[in-house]
Amino acid sequence: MTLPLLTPALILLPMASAVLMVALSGRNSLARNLQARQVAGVAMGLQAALVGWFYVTWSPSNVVQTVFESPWLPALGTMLSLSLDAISVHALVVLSAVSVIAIVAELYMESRLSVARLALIFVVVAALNLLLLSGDLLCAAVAHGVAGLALAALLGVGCETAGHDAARRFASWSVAGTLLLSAAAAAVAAGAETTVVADLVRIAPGTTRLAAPLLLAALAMQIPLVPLHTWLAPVAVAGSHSGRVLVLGGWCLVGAAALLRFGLGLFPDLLAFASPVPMLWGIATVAYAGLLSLAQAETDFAHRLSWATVGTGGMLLVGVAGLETLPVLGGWLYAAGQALPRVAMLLLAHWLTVTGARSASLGVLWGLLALSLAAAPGLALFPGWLLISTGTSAAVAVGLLLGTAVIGFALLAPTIHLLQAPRGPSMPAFLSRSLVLVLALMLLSGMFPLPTAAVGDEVERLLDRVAHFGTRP
Amino acid sequence: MSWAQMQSPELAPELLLALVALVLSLLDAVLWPRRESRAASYAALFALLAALAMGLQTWDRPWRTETLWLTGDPAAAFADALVLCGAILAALLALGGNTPPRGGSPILILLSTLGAMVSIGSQDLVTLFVGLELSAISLLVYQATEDEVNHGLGVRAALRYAGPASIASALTVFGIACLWSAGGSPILATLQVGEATGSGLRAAAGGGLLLAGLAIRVGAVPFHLWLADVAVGCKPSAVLLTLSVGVVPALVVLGRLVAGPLSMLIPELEGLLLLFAVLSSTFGALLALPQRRLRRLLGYSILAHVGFALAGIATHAGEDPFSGTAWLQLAALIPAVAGVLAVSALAGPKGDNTAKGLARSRPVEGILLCLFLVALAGLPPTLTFVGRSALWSSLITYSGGGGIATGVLMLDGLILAYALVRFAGRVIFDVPTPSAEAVPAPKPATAAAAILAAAVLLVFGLWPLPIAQAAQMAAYTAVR
Repeated sequence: MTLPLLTPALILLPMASAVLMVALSGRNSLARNLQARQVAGVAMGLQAALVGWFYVTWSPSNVVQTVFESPWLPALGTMLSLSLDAISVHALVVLSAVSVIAIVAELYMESRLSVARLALIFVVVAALNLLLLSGDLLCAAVAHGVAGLALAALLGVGCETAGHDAARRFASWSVAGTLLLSAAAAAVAAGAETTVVADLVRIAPGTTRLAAPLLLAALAMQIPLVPLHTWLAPVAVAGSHSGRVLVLGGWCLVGAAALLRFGLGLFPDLLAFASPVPMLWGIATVAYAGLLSLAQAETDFAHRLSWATVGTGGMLLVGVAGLETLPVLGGWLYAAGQALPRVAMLLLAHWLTVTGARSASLGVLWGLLALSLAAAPGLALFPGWLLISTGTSAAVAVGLLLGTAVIGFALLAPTIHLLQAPRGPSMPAFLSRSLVLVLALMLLSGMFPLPTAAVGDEVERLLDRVAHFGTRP
Repeated sequence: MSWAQMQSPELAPELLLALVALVLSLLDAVLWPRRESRAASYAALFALLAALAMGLQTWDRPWRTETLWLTGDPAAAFADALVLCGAILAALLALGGNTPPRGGSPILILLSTLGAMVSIGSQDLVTLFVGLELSAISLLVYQATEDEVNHGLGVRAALRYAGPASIASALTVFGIACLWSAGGSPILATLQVGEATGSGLRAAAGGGLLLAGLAIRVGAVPFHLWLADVAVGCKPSAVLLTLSVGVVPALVVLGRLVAGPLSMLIPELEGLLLLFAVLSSTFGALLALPQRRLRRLLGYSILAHVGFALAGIATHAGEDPFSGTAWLQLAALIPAVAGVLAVSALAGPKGDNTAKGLARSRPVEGILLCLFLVALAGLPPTLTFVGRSALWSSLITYSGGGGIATGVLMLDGLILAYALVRFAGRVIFDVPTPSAEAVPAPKPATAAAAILAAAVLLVFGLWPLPIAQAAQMAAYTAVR
């Protein structure tokens, strides 16, 4: 069995699971819930196995592989094109892990199992997979729109007013992002008569350049970057657990991958031309996020985490704006490595807020996760952080060091509170196991940063286009 | 001259509709007094389905460029298919009403559809006028007579429509007279060729009057005041029929004329059309923003869509009309509007329904309504997204990457999407208001209309290739 044959399964499998969930909704509630759990477990298991197989069989020599292509909208030169590269394979692995946590959160943390929410999780997974695999800008906009709307519904279904408000706010921002992305695709089509990324070798100056700011704005909303981040804090504190996990883990991760694939891949000369601006934007985002995370109340765990997420976007942008292999690679490793500990911390933060529990073990868990997000040496984020810092100028590196130190401090500070005299219930087994598993993964991937070589090759390929414009040695 | 030489295959749908309308009229007269029965409605529905099948069947044959009465090219066939689809959905909505349709209603649906098809395929100004009037008068009567539930609202809405429609007729007649006298012939293809010396001003005035008449029929700003009232006051079937046989054919005729003679006769035509487009989309989007009633929101959404379609026409004035953009938009608009109307009919008999919390009280209807609102917003994964993306592309090409109109239209798209998604949020998340009236059980015909509309929007939204290819083919061959 080859990759081209199996790649469409990454979209069809979750879609089929969603349809199956919808079909189950007419049955009586006990049987329905049991079958929904079974379907969700099997589907996520298959998805994880498929992505794992992709990861294992992916060879660093396969720089980009177009696995499926078919005409979609001839008037704009749009193709339904699925392509694999090292970044998308790495992102698929992380996204699958986040999806598993989302399913676990839905099954064990919600007061009442909702088949509608389970169906929406699979729709989101299918759309995000399509966004990662899409080799066409307009198809990526379609996937962006579907994922955004499904996530908004997932956040709000079965929640109280705060969840509804968060869902509405997220829907507005994601719709704006989709329209900007589709307008960018339309601008590219107007100038180049195609929206297939592989065919857009060098976008001619003129009308298509309009696409660059539109695309950047859309992705800045998704990553998110200051000042387009205002949807994140409400989502971090309200809404369904699975929705919040998928937003903070999946949505932001896919935005980072899209920035590399579409932003760096399509407009290298513009990025090089405007290089101080993205760098400054990234530093400003890190500084702003650091200060705001510090300003939150000590027990406002979720808000602190949301500001740390905004800071990650800034770090990614600084790395990408470096326009060298090391900082770009570091930016990606940093952004991708954040997803898992962030969602684990989100679930822990929610449980701590709801129960008011504290104990030594909780403090240790929180502290370890905070260290992981603060890019402590030996953990998964450290290589990425190191590559960004060493690949940029000394002044920028000092700024980043300060910014990440402040964010790290803001995340670590609640540990003292949690280490105080124990109170409240003990942690549920599923949560403690999930958190320990995530920590183990963080430690392992910190010791053995496996995807570095393959992703590095892909970054080199993207940066070769920058070299074409004479900005790199 | 034999029947085959007289373009019989291309005329078959129109002839069938005329024949069935005649038979139903005779039966209605013979079987007087009328009894409550849905038989005539079913006969009309099957006639429309058969006409659509005949129309689609012509795509398998080589197209004839030389025809005697009505055009038989892919552009006309595509537009006919759109009109027939809209009429079929309207007939389904009429069948799904709480009371059986009046005896004459199916005849009016057939006649208005026939008029729309004649106006779309017309090759001369007189046929165009006959087609437009046949559809407008039938439509007016249908709006006024199908008014059992809303207690006079339908009559009032019909009267709101009657005024602009009458003015449009008068302007069209004057325009035709000016154009005919200036060009010496009513045939569209020879209008600019046969223009006599010194008659340029008369021709321009004629073209302007014709343009104004068509702008009134499409409901473009500043001639839009009837549109929202019709959307609120009339029965769902009448609203959909107004869109399918009133607004859409007028847009198609406008597109064909703008691509052909009008571009030669009226100076700065693109600018004028773009002004209409910007005004319509801006008013539609801004007025949709504060709406809390579903049907009024629908009315203003249609107005914004009229603006987007006009923008698609304006960017291709004098060349291949639409380049497929307006075709795609119109193809998406009809099922989206039909879907909203079907759900509003399923959700309750009143036209002032807010649909608040519908997804909680009636999940299937609520989810369907959200899909249709997303479609009207021009978002994926629906066919409207495809049409909207094509429009942005042609606008950017037209304006060379800049242009105030392009920016305003894109902003309007964003505002409209925000208004509709916010409304969808109310449908999903709000607590439903307890209703004093019992909601009737869903009628199979109305449910069928909603499911058909959803299927069209989703299937062609995910796989737009067939409809995009047909639209492109229609665009290339529509130049007169």
